[in-house]
Formats: sequence, structure tokens, C-alpha cells
Amino acid sequence: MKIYSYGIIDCNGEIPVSLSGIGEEAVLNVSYRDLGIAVSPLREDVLERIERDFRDHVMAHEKVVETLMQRFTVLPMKFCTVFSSNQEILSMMEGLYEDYREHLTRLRGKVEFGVKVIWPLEKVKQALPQDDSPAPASLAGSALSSAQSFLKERFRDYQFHQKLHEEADRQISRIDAVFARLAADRKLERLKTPALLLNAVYLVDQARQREFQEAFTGLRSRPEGLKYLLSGPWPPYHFITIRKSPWTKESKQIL
Amino acid sequence: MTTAKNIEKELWGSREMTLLETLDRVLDKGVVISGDVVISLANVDLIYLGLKLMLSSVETMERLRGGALTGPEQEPA
Repeated sequence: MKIYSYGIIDCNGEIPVSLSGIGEEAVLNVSYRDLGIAVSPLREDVLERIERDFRDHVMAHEKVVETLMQRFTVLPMKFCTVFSSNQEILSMMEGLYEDYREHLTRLRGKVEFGVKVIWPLEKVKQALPQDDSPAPASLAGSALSSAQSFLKERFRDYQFHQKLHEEADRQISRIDAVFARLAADRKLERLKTPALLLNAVYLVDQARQREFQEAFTGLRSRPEGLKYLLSGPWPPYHFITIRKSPWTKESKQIL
Repeated sequence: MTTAKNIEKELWGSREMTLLETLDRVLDKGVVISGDVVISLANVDLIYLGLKLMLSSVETMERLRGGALTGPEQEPA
């Protein structure tokens, strides 16, 4: 029998709700000082099935974290963080206690929202100003060598992509301005794929959650040809940066 | 709050999008403890990668038609 962990919470008492997790096992709180870690027993046969039925298990993991989030500040564990004994858990809690405390304080009362924005790539490309500047003198003339033609073409491509990125930055700034004023923190990713203009996550105080959602609705209703997707509220997964070994002496950051 | 189940009726693909959004977080973010405590999930990682590639395609995203994605599934308090 092993121990499956769901998340660190700012509570060292019993979880005041009946909650079942992976393998339909009851979720319990293992306390360490003023914190706790929500866990459930993991039978060997369930462990063997985790990969096969992983979607169900991922959702079961997330459901536990979501329920905990309604009552506590939660630092969710990565899926399938499994311990062999209570002693191993306590040793891990001891090694990372200060990190957990710091994160729980910073994230108290906050949730995460995901915002994805798709832009009409072909239309944007067509609307970009075409480069009709004369070729540099060294590349001018009717008898360009194939190497010169190739370089000229590559240079035009480069300029075009520069313009595309500038246009993306301009649109992202405009979109981000709507949400950033309502967020405590954010992470933005530009053009993850050519059509995915923005892939962003925002850390939002629960008191401003509704305002954030309304801002999204307002932005989406603008007739600009962009498509918006909102997800959340989530536990603040993207704003947890604990990636350490609690068992090395120096507790070095693992990159 | 809009639940995942309600959204599923409105939007094609929302179940997959919910799963992808969840996987993006649960498999890759949060507290990561190094060492032997994390079970190696080679197959799951491959399935996740395939799903992610499929769902990051523009065609799939376009089908959402600009609708709001689901929030995480919540149990009634």
C-alpha cells in the first residue's frame, strides 16, 4: 500500500468534508506543524491501472484539489506524486516547509484563470504593409545570382515575421491591459502556434473573480475578429514554482 | 458557476478542451517533488502529447467558436 498525495493545505486538522479520491479511497489530512497534506491510500492494483485509465484518474485528482480549494488555500501536487510511508511524507514536509508557507501566504484567496486568444492569421498577414523598399545596392540589378536572390527572399521573410510579431505584441498589449489591472500576477505566451495569438494565465483575487469574468465578456463582444477562450477558476497551478528535492542537504533548485 | 456538463451541451469539443486544460496543469504544474516519489508515466506523457498536438490545431480551436471554456468541475459546496 502506498500513499497518493493531492496537495498541501493551510490546515492541520481534519478535512471537514467526506471526499473520495483515486481508487474511491477516502481523502485524509496528514498534518505537519500548522500545515497539512491531503492524501489517500493507494492500492497496488489501482496503481497498476493509473496509466490505463489515466483520464479518469487525472479528473479524480483534480476533483479533490477543486473541492479542497473551496475551503483552503491549496498547493496542488503534480499528478502521481506517491509516497511509500508517512515517514517519507513528514520528511518531505520538513524539507520544504518554508517554501510551502511562503507560497500559501502569497496565494491565499487567489485563483487562476486561463485566457486563450486566436487571431485570423491569414487576414492579419494580408493586412500587414508589404515591403516595397528597394533592395540594397549590393543586391540590385537584373542579374542577381541565385545566392543573392535567396538571401533577398530570406531577408523579406525575416522582415515580414518581425512585422507580424510587432502586430502580435500590439494586440497582446491591448488585451492584457484589460486583465492585468484585475490580476495579482500573470504569465503571457505569444504565438505558441501561429494562430494562437495569446496563451495567458492570470492570478486573480477571489474578490475580483466576477469582475475578471465580466471583463472577459466585454472583450469578447468587441467586433475585432478575434476568438477568445476563458477557463477557470483553477487552483493557481501556474504560479507555483516549487520544483525541489526535499531530501538533498542544500535543497537545490532543480531546473 | 457554469459547470463542465452544461458547457458540453453548448460546445463541441469542450470535454476535450476541459481535459486538455486540466492535463496542462495536473501533469505539468503544481508542486513537483523530484526523486523516486513520482511514478514514471511514459505512456501517459505520450497520450498527453498527442492530445495536445491535436487540440492545439487551429481547426479544433476554431470549432469552439469563441465560446467560454469550462471552469474546473466543482462539487456543490
